[in-house]
Amino acid sequence: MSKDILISFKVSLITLFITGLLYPFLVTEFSALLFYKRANGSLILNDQNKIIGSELIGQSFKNPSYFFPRPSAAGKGYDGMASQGSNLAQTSRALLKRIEAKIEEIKKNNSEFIPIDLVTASGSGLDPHISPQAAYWQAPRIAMHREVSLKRIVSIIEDLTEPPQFNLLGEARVNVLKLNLVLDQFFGPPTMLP
Amino acid sequence: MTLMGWLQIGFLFILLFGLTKPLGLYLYNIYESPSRFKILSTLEEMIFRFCGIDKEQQTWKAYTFCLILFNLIGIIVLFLIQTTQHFLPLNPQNYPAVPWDLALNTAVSFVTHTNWQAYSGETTLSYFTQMMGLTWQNFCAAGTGMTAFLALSRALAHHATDEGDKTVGNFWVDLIRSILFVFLPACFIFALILVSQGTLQNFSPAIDVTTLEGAKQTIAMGPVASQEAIKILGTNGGGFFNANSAHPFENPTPLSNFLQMLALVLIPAALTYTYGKITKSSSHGWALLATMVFISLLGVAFIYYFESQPNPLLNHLHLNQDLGNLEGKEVRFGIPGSSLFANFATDTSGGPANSMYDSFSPIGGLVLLINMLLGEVVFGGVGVGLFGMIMFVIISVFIAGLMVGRTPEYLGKKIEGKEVRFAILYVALYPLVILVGTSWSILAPYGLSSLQNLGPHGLSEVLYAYTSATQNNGSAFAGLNANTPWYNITLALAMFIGRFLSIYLGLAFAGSMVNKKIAIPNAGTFPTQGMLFIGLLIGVILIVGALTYFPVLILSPFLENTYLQMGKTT
Repeated sequence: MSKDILISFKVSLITLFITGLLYPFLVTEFSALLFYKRANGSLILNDQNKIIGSELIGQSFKNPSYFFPRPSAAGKGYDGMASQGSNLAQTSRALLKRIEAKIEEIKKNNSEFIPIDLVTASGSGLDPHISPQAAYWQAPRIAMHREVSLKRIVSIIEDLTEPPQFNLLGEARVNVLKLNLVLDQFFGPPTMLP
Repeated sequence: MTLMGWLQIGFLFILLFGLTKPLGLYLYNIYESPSRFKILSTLEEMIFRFCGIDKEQQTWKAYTFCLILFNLIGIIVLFLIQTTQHFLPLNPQNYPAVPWDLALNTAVSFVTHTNWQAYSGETTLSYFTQMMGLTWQNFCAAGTGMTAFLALSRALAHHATDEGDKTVGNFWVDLIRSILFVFLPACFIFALILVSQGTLQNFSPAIDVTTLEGAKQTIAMGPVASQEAIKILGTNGGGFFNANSAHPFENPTPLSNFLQMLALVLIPAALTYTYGKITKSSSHGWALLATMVFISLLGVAFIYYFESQPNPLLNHLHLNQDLGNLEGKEVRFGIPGSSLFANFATDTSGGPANSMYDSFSPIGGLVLLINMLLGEVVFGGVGVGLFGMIMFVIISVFIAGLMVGRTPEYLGKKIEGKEVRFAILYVALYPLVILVGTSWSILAPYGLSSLQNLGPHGLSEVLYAYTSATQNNGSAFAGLNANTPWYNITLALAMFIGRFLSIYLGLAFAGSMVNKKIAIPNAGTFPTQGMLFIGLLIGVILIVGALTYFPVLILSPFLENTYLQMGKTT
């Protein structure tokens, strides 16, 4: 029995060293060697070499000249330190009220039906993507605020639409931050709202 | 539902079938004839010598004693690491010590292979705690599951001789081989693949950025991939971040999602082959896999269908619901990638989440609950899943024996009153803990105050919590605020009982089987392969597993579904 207790401690120690220390550090070393950018958050830099975000982490956009992302339950919205979903049930009155308010906020003069992802919060609260349908739905608003042709905006969305991976896995999607970066690149930054 | 969605699901199951035999064979060789791998046996000899392990065969009692002892030490060390993390290195965000009730809950949770998380990873735990504490115990808990399975299968395969009953193997040898030769190499490769897709792996502090609109955003960092790999391959399920596998830094692309789903069921599926090989009844192993695949496909079909449906409560709004129930789901995975993930997360004891199960449709959520309530024997946790499945097999052959009036046999060994008692206790243990915990919580103000959603869904939240804890799953209807002393302590208790009492019962069963003679099967033996057996086993699992909980399920997801169809909110 006392022998087993001693073995227990020794096995704990050696597994702690191998799996808790050696293994994570080895993975870190190899990742840095092979996939440095990915291992460090897939960050996006601007012209002044400042980090403006990560291509994997969604950002809030409230200015109507930008594409809107999905609603977010992470903190006050897209809080990178507070990932979470709303956890509201389908039958929840709070969910219904929230969706109604969101529709009111974004619908404006658009008579097309709103794609569901634009009014539902993602699981992480940091979803960087919207569906292509949700991007097209927003195209008329962007064209109006940016004072460019609708065709131009539509072709930008087409260019940035990612198909399912290997045309098999997952869904077609558009990265909102990349989309808005391209808008700024082509048409300059929008006038800031008060 | 779309053709593309079903193609993804079908593709995964085909890959799984293809990998079962080669991986199962590798596992068999690692445990039963390790001399095939020269380098590995030299390496393990060094470790055995350092730890003073004599490799002697143990009785089931000694084996169980070492298993529980090792895990108790794990709980203590993990508790200490969390409560002293502010003195320890690798804490760039300067997080304070974890409060004692939360630390206790988390320690029990990770050691018992549950990985229930009442905390939010990115704002509670230092990198040191995540690595040295949680990643370490992810390996140990997964390894422990494998040992329990090995002891049981050896007991069933063993020919009685005069060696006595010292024949279930050596716990330390099995544990170290599982960690070093199964999980470690697989995780190393899997972690690097995840990083190639965008999963983080660094020790930087969180990064402050100014967004395109000029707002401030802080982006969490950390050694994520190394923990993510074992979280999935070891069917542990405890994420680095609060949002678990929904977080783009844990599960960045559809490919990473696909591989996570595959990795989750890979080892449990392969073990059916290993089991067939150990007990020299390959066709029985395949029959078990077929049973698992059938129930799993049934589950995913239901989830996928109901998650694709529009929410009737939103029908009157100016919305296009073609994409299905996307509340709590990520666009990149869509409905099929979220449905299959959720199904596997609850089939196995993994319980990771790439979407928020609390926001699933009532029937989708019901399937997740049932998957766990069946005892997580459909794939199940690494090792312990098959362990539980064997208990259901015992009940099946017992029932078959009753029907034809013969003493039931399993793998040539007679099943008698004592063994059936162990199997029944094993199966009856779970409802007792789950239903008592749930009813107590919904009758007490300190239990009710944690609910986020009201009405029948509130009951689902509590039921889900106790089910997940007792079955060592770890997924949640996360609207429930489980970080209160009541839930932290009672759920920790449920996790502890669900893990160690069940392993104890299973190993006691193994102990009583080990010295039985193996008889040659004759015309009266009920075959443990073929369609008749598979059908009976599926029936027993569904009836025994689901009927026990029928009343409470009527009051929660079923009633909620009625509300939904009537267009009533709560």
